[in-house]
Amino acid sequence: MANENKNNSSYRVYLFVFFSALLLALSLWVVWDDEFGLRPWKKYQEEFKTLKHDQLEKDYRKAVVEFQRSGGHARLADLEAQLAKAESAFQSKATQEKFKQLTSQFDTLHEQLVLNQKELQNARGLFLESEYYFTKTQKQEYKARMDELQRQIDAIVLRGAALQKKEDSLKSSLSELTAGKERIAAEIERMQGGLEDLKEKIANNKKVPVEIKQIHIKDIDKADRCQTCHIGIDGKRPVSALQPFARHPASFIYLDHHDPAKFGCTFCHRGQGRATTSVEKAHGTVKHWDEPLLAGDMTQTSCLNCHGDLKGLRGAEEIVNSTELLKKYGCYSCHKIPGYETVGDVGPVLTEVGSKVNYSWAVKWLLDPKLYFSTARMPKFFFTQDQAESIADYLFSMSGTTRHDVDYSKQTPDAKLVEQGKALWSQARCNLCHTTGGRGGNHVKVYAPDLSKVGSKVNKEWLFRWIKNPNAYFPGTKMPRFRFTDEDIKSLVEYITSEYKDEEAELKYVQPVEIQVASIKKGKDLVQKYGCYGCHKLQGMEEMVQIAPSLKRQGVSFLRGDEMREKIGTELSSIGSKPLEMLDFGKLKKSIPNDRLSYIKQKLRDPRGYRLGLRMPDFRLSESEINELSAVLYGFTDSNVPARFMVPSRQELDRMAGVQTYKFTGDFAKVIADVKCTNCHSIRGIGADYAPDLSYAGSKLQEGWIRSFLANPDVIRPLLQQMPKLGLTSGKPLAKITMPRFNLGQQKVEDTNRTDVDAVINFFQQELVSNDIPKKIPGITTLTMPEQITKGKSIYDEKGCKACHQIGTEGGALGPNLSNVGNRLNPGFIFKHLENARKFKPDIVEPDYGFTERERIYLTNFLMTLKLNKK
Amino acid sequence: MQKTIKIRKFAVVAALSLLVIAGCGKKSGTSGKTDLKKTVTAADSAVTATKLPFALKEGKRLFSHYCAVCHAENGDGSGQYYGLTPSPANFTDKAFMKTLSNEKLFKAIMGGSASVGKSNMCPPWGKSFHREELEFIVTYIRTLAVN
Repeated sequence: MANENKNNSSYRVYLFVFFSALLLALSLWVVWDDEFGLRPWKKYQEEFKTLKHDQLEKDYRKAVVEFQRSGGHARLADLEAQLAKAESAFQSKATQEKFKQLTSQFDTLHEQLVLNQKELQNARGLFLESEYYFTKTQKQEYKARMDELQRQIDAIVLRGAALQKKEDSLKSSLSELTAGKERIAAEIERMQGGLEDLKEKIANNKKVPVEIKQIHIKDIDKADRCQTCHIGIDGKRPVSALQPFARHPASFIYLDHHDPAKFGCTFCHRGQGRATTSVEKAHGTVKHWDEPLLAGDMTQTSCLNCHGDLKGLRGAEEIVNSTELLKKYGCYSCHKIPGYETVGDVGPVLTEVGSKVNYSWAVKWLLDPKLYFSTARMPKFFFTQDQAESIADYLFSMSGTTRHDVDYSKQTPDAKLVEQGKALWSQARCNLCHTTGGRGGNHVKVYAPDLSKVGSKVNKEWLFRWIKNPNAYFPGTKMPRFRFTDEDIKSLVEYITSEYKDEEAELKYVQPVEIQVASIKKGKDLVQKYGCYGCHKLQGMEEMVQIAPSLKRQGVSFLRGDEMREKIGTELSSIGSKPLEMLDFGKLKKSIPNDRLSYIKQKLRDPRGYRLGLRMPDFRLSESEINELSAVLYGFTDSNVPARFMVPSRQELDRMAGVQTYKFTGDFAKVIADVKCTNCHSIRGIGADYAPDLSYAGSKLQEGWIRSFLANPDVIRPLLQQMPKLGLTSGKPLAKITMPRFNLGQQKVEDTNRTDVDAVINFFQQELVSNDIPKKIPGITTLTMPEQITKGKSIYDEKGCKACHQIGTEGGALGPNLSNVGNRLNPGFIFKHLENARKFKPDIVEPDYGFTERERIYLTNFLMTLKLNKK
Repeated sequence: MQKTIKIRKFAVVAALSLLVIAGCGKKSGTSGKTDLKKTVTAADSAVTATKLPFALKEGKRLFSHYCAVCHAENGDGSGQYYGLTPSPANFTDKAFMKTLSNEKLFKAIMGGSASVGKSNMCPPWGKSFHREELEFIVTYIRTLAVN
């Protein structure tokens, strides 16, 4: 028994000792973890300080070496000797005596001056007093006293001036005595100062405390501690290129415009700003933190938070390119997306499509648009043959009663007409927008259909009507109305239908077949279900909108008009900040990473993959398009943005100020609606950036030149439009790209007796002028005109302008040909353009040469002499 | 018999506490061990559109917009703008690039080819760009010979 007790107690002792040791170990660990484990940033800050110290030390050593190399020591010793000499000279008996004498003289003089000043004040006081009594009583005695006092004051002022003069001369003779000494001392200070500053910097760096560095944005109560580790992020000089010490790249764009003290970091980069215990936590790449860090180009998605207009915004290039995809594929047709409410239709009007296309083509197109041409924008809806036929039946029933095809392959085309049409085709430069078998289509943003098989798609009658007046069939189309005669159009139609046809087309309904009513009903249901009306205008469905889910539950099946407006797809206004639990990963929950970005990408990759019953069609986007598009969508957030950060778009600013957004007026508006100038040109912010901006064309261009150019557009920048950013590969043969020939000037504008060229010129000269462009350039009177022109020519040769510009047969083809520039441009424009070309086109290739005003005058005068005489 | 049970109990407790300590140790290890290398990989594994560093990416963008028309997209000097005399510099030529210091390259871009004693065909870009942008371009040009 006793033995057992003893055994028990020893067991307890062991246990006690063990747990005591454990407690001690844990306590030590707690202290260690609190001090180091949970504060990894201490190490970073220490390391950063060491790096910075090394850098400063290096600077110092370099400065010392430089100091020695330039003989600094010898000079310093020399100066010090000089100083000592000057000092001893100053200390010599004679000088000291003189100095003392002068000082005492100065003191007495100064005393007198002070007394004099007091006397003056006193006299002025008395004068004011007398003046007061005089104005009150108008008695002569006061007047007399005033005069007396005035005399006294004058005398005192005179005396004061004399004293002041004396004092000044004394002062200068005093400083003469000490000047030499002081000058040498200042020089020594200056020489040592540079080194001392560097030393001080090193000392200051040592004093920098190791601590949490936090930015607190008060109005949204956001605290960012990122700089605790990223300590060199806003430094003036890079200390290290490695993270976390690197500087913010391109901080002249990003940080200079977004002061970190005001904006913090997570506002653009997301992540978990408060976390400091580990890299994963701070960067938000941990579970249950929905906002992982945005790095690289992906960060640009945050520009969408505040900036209304991204176009032309430096530093947002990637995201601007990506937003173009929203327009290209028309995402806003089915989804509500802020800022895209007023963008036009994506697809053509379908109301009379039965009079336009072959039935067989329509069915094939509905089954898979990319089978017809590979760059088709319309997505694949995965219709069955039966469904596709039903939809085609419904569409054809709106303008007829039959399924019908037209087959031109059995007819022999009129060779003469084809020949004429071919000439017209190239003259009108149809290939600028339309591709045919891989050729043309340089203007990528108009999304004109490929025409290589169009002869098996449309019928001749429709094509004739279309070319004659595109707006009549599809109001708001991008296709311009060319000023062709009926004969011209006939030949063009003949050429297009005979040249561009699909040899493999199966035209089954050359003999029309009656459409079944049941099929129409089924087709209409499908059109409603998949929301074709989102992209295409359809008669009777103009105002069709999808019912809100809440109403659907109540049994409402379809609505019309403005009863309830909601688009068919999910609202995307805040998809970039949607809580994860609201995203339905469905059957892919376990196979893809459960984060927002992966969800968006997978949705774009396989729109119906998450579960059965989804309706979104497949756009067959490339992986790069998926990345770009998901980056844009990720930027649509409802994040809490302080109003002071917002940069509203121009449109919004106009709306807020109650200003009408710029609109074209008068006859010019009619010309624009017809010729669609804004497909390529931008005018006052409206239009595309394919061709030069015309916002200031009235100040820039000469009238005569505009007339001849519109009548016969010529190549101005043969190479520039070929730049690869426009989607061209360098392997392509050089096509001369320029404006299509619209044959302007041959017809009168509707309801007026003015020709369209007159309307254009009138509008340019009235509206499109800029006050920044002077009418005349400043003259130089000291030089004659021929001298100025010669000087301009020599600058032109010396600066190598001919590398890019051509005059006559000599020079490059990158910039505009300058052979006729004297007829084309106004001198004021050339003058301003030479000063700052980027003002007129922000991404212009022409560099800034930094010309002086004189040089610009010379050059302008020289360029204005370059004229081609009309033949 | 009793003794062996006790010993076993003790062993179990000891093993459990060891586990606890080991667990703690591991935890402190992950949060404490944060060296440079790890930070870089963590930044990469975050939502990143591209693995290219900013300087290269931006350098490439600027190069293809402003330079590639003469120097070509791949930098070999055979841009779309052909028939230039003298022909534009070939940045893919390793031997040539070895002789070209970053400082000289920087100077040539900044002041134009004339500033380094060549023809005046390449214009001066110094006033059109921020210094950092020019550095991006230099960084990018440096990568052309390697690939």
